[in-house]
Amino acid sequence: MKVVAAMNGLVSSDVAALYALRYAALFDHTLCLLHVLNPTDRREEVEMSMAEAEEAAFHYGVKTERVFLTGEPADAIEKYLAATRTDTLFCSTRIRKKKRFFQNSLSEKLSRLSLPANLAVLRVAHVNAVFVTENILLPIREDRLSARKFAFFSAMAKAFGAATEIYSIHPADRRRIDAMDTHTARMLFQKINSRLGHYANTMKLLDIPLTIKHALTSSEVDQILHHLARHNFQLMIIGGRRLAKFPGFFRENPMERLFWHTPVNTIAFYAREKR
Amino acid sequence: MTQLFALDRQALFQRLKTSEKGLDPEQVARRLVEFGANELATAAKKNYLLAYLGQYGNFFAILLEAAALLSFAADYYDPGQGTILGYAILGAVIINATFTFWQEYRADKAMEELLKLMPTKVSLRRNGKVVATTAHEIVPGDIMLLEEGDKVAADGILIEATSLYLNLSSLTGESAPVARNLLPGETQRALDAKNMIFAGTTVLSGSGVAVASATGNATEFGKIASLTKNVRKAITPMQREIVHITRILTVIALLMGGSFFALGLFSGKGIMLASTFAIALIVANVPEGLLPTIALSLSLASQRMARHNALIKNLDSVETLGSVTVICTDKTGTLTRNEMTLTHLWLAGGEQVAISGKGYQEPGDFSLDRPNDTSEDRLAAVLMAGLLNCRAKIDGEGLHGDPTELALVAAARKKGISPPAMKKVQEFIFTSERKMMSSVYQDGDATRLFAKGAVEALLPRCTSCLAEDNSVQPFTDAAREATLAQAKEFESQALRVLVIARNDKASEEGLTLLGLAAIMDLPRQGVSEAVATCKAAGIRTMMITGDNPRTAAAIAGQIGMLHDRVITGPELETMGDEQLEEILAKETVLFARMASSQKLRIATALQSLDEVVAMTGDGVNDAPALKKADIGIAMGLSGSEVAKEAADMVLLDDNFSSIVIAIEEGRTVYFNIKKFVTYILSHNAPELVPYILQFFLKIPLPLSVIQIISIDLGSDMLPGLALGSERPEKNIMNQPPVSRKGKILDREVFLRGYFFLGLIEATAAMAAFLFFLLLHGWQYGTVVLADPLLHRQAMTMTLLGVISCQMFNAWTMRSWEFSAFSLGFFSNRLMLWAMAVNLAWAWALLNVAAVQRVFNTAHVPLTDLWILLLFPILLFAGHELYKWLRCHGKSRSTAQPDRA
Repeated sequence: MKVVAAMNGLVSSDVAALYALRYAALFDHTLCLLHVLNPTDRREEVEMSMAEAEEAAFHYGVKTERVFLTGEPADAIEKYLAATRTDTLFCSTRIRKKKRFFQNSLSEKLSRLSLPANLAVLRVAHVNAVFVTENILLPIREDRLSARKFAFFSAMAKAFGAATEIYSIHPADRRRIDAMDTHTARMLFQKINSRLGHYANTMKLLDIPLTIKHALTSSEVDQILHHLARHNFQLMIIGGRRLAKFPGFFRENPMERLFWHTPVNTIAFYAREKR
Repeated sequence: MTQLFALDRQALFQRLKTSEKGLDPEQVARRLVEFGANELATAAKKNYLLAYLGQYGNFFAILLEAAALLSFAADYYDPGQGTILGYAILGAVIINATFTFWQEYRADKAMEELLKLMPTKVSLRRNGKVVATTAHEIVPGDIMLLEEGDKVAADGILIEATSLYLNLSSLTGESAPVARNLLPGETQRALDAKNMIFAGTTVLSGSGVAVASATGNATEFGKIASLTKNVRKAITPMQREIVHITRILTVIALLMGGSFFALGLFSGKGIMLASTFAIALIVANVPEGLLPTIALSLSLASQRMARHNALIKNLDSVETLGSVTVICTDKTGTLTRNEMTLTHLWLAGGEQVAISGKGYQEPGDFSLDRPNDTSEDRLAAVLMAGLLNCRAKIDGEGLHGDPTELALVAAARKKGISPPAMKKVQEFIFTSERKMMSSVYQDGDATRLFAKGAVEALLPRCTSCLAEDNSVQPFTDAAREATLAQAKEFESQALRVLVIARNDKASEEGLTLLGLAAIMDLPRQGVSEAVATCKAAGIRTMMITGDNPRTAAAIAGQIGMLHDRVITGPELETMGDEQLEEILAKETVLFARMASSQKLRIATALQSLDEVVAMTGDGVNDAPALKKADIGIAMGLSGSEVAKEAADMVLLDDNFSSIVIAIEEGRTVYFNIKKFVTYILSHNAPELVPYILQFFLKIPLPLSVIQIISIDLGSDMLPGLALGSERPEKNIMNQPPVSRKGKILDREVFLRGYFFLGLIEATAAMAAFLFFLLLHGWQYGTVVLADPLLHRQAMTMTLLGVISCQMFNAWTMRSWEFSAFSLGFFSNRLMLWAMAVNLAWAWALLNVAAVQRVFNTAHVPLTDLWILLLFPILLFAGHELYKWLRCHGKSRSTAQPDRA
């Protein structure tokens, strides 16, 4: 199996490769450093970045390989993934036109495709955080946590030896929040805890510290940002959403907002399509 | 696991992919798109499509949409002109929504442009060269160069530091200087690492070079900033008022429309006619221009305020400003110049020197009270000692350094003293523990030390003094007593006193006293006048400062800020909320030695007394108080980003006078909207009365629904907008604040608009219609005219009757209290344009066939138009008389029911 890191010579793609490396090291996968050649390429820098990633991989005892593709990036990557057995593709994202981190990006294009591998899109806030990841946050809506997302989350935690937190958010309007008494809130949270119980047990078996916290809020994104500001996390993993054809047409996409505002490195995770 | 701050220099460069030389322009450009600009991402991006669609969902729009549906329904049951009418009303809805949206969009864009006025300049090393750029452009890996007085723009790790002290109060709330060096110390937390610097903090002294490690929201400061985002913003008085007006007018429209629909049906007029009546009454009652005018009025006011350095972040806050009853203001930089000025010197020989010229740049003179032959030499010696013992400098590029030192440098410049060619070899830095600093110079073979510091720190180290004859004499007990007495006298005048001394060896012991320097932060120009304006305007001003009570009281005295008592921070701690409220209800208080966190308590206490509070602040700890206050005002120059984010208004020049100008604009907006509402209510009566008369009397229809729409969205729109842009009235700051409970649509506005002016206009419209018909042979009882042209001509007369009255109404409405003649004909250019456009419109109604087809009008001979002249003049004169009586009548107080 391979873990692929899409590289383009930017600092953030170097950081994405380091996350991919830690993930590959956990499962003893091969780290594939991939670059799609294009006319405005800075190939020297890409190769320098690859050399640095290889050096780091050597330190972790991970096998690496370099792959250079040509053509339209999304198509080339899709074809490559289809031809190889890949666990996860890591790539970073940057600001696009109109101050967007995700929309109209290669990452977004990849997220729309039915890739035969998981996709982890990284937004880098701190270059160094990949070296000092001690706490990882996974915000979810109520108890909505897929097994694949949980697997990735726990794998990243195991790879970094980090403590984890699942932050369960209950969207509700202000009036409902104001009207809710402590007992009702406690009952609601207990119900969520019991539904997430098997995940908690799994974490216990994997020896990964896990905390489950809850919040009632009328604004999910603000609540997550508020939580990040109050606590010391180095990485946040969010469930990637495949955007509509005209995302942001009616309202701002929450993922876009999180990517734009996040004070910590954030991975949007897209589980591979079922075949 | 290696934290960034624990890495050695080379590893740090490697980790952040940078070097001693810094990043090259290409790397910078790429990192800008990777990490974003170095700014705090604020509110969620506004979705303009949703905002536009929202315009179709307000009360008025729904009413008109219902009216359109009604006309379509009527047409379905009784085919006729209902479809055209329906489309016309929908057209009106679209025009109104688009216009309102366009105003708001323009206001938002103007606001975005204005917010760009607040960048911080930084020095960076890029590609081996020092470049000055804006803080927004810093990226991780940039090499930041820090000097005394600089504001740190991004988090970073120091790679060079010389006597570097930071003010971390914007992050920690602790204002004591914090030393920074190249060793992180025993910590795992970035905030505790001594080699880290943080965005939002200030360099108090020393210099340093740092590698930027995080920017924008990823900084520690950015995290704190996001904590303020979850605060719910309360509905503003303006929003409440719009809801109030909308509801009242909606109820009136529905009641009238519903009643006449029912009456029409029961009296057998048929569904088409009954619907036409209902639709006409609904359309006539809806003030289509209200929302765009409010948006324009607020937007123009905010732009005028920006020209006076008051940047409004939330347009609705403009109107709240008009209701402000208390201003709680900082002292330093807001009331005072934040430029320390050396106002007095006392020479060790006993002479006192008064120095004129405020601030750092103004020239000044030195006047000695009893000069002798050596006075000038000793004066020069004191100034030279002060100048040589400073890091601050004033040059062509501006001011650099600590304000106290700048005062000494400025005084030396006033005297024409420049530093001699001596080499500084050592410096004993200032710390809050030592309360003194000294510099050692090599002057040929001689070594000289110059010292300055607090009286209690430096005077005990003095063993000699420079006597009256310029000789060094022992510092006797009597001389010491005299020096202490002089220092106390200066302190009693709220002056900060520094001892200036020197030594002929590199030691801080056995010093020779040269004199005392008395320094003060003088009040800003125009602040006294602004405080007096507030007093006349019924606004209480309260100073809240961290300074000592004596200094605070002295400054308050100088600027005429009257106060009944001074409360210090520790005293406030011992007070209960009720006791504080009781004091604030009865007395005007000056708060001294206050911590930022105590501002919130003061704001809360004042609000519980029903006061409308404007509160200034600059630090991150001020943010809760700024949020709590009705108007939070952040300092643009010295304020932290968090304070600016939390505030409703940002003062770009940190000047108290700008607040007062903003309040004046706030009041102006309130009255402009009031004038506009009165103006649009005036046309409701002439739009309603023709239908009511036609319903009950046997006369032809005097005004069609499309003609009503042409008034509401055509001829009345521009004059309405012009009223919204009217300048402040001359007595606006001589009146009490607008009461929080006061309504724009109050009894007076309703009576003045609907009945007084409205009935004159209704009479004018009906008189024009009926006179014209009678002149052309019509007899009472003929409802359907044989000649359709005559009917259209008569309706044209009604329409022109309303338009001409509204034109005169707009002119007289320009002032709420004063004569229109006192305002100046050209003082509102938009009004002149509006009049010109309306005249052209009237001409088009009379002469352009296409316009006539759409609006059911026809050409009327000039010989018949004379009827239209009388009533507008009558309305103008009547309203001018009303205003005169209002101003000079017996019941002046009752003539202002909306005031507190």
